[in-house]
Amino acid sequence: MMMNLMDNKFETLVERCIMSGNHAKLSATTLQLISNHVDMIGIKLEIGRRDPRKDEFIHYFLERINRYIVHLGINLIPADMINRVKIIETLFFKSDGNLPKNHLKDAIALYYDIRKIRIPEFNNFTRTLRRQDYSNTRSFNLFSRKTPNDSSSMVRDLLIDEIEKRERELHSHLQNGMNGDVLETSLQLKKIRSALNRNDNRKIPVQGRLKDNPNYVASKKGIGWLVILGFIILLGIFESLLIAETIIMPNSLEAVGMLMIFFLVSILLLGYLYYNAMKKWRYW
Amino acid sequence: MKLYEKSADLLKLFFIIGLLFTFVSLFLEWFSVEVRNDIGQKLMESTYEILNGWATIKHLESSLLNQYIPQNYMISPMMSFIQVFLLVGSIVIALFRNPETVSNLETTRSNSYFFLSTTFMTILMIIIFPFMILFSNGLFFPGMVVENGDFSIYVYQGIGIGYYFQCMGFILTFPYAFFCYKVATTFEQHSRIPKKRIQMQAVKESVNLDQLIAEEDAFLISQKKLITRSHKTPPLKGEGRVDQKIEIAYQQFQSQRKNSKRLKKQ
Repeated sequence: MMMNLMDNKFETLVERCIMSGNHAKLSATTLQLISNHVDMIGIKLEIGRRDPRKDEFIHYFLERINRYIVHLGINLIPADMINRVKIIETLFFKSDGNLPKNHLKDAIALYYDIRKIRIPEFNNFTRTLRRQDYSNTRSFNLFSRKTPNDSSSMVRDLLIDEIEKRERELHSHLQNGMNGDVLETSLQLKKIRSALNRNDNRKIPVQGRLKDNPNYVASKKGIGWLVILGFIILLGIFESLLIAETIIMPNSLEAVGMLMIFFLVSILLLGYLYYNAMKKWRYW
Repeated sequence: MKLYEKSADLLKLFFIIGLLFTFVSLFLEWFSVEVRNDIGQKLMESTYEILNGWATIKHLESSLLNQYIPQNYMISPMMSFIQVFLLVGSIVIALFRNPETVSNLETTRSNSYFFLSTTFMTILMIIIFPFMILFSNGLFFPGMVVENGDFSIYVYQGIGIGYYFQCMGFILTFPYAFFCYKVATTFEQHSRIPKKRIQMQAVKESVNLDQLIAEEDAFLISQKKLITRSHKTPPLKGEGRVDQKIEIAYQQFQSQRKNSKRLKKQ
């Protein structure tokens, strides 16, 4: 519906520009529309938009898109199409934004050709496979050290193995011919795989403000123990200073000996309390 | 509301108080040496301040007391300036940035590094002060009373309020700095879905075809008016040819469109 409306508008613009002989405007608009559609492809594939600030030409971006899905064994953007874009882009910049008439026609045709490349819209299924949904299954504490979980890594390996098998099947399907559904499934599998791999760095994803995240709020239990940790560090520094002092000035040992023992006992006691508290939060 | 839900705010308050303690400590005495006789009369006193170094006051003029005057070793003022810069920066960041409400946790990560640098600087001052100022002068840490029996002189040595403030500053600033660091390294914010939508919207809005059509219409109307006005006058040389050319190009475009529509239907 949106596209039909846009097509009608574009046709009207072509009509008017031909009547007024304003080829420069038509050239610029056509190239902009091509660029927009290519950007849309990039966004849908989650590569993002092309970056004109980095002088990324449209044809470079199209090559980047092809590289992104090279593992599927298909060329999403045909090489001749990239070549046509390259010619039009080069001519556009050489002619200061006024394409020659025959190339202008080709640019319009190219716009419609690029539009034929359909990228599936990712549905909610893909969204549910984002990392947060894995992490939300387990409670944790902000200050507990997360130990590697053997069973979860085994499940992950099994899943990756299954995904690879499925990818191989889809690869052969795609080599027989381009199919929108197969392409969508392949891209979804790629996203699942990258989500599983990303879980390795064990960062917990949140959306929006931290304050509103129940996981974060719950993880703050035991935050007060950081003050004790600060005390332990400070006492450790004092203990080290006293040891250094007795080495530099051995006659001070008699005077600071008791203090050293006091600091040492305090460190051990506080350390024991801190360790126990952290053990408790770890399995919370 | 449970206490732990407000704990981050509490730590932040401690952090700011700790920074103020650390800042104030730079202007207070860190160590003092007092020389008294056996009846408790003060003969000489020396105090050390981070910014000014040793300051000695003799209450009794005697060359005998010279041996108790500490040598003027000083911690480089540059270190104090760096610490002041870190303290001021941390206060500003802590007041205006809250890791719990920011929309980009990457800023919290850089903030936490800044906070940790401030804390590290405090630790550095706590450690290097005894080594550079006390041990090199033969003074004792944290303090001592040394008796010189030959002259019935007592030397009272002890760390001053500035050093205590520095230590308190560390105790109060460390929890929040570490908390921010843990938050930044444990969580990451995802805003991909709205970002994607925004990006798509931006792409759609980047070309305003209606405006372009309106501009062309306006141009054509103005051209028409010009032609009707100059209808009475003979046509300009080549004007008819231009109209013809436009007409041919337009017809070509229409036929191309028809062909493409026919192909689409097929």
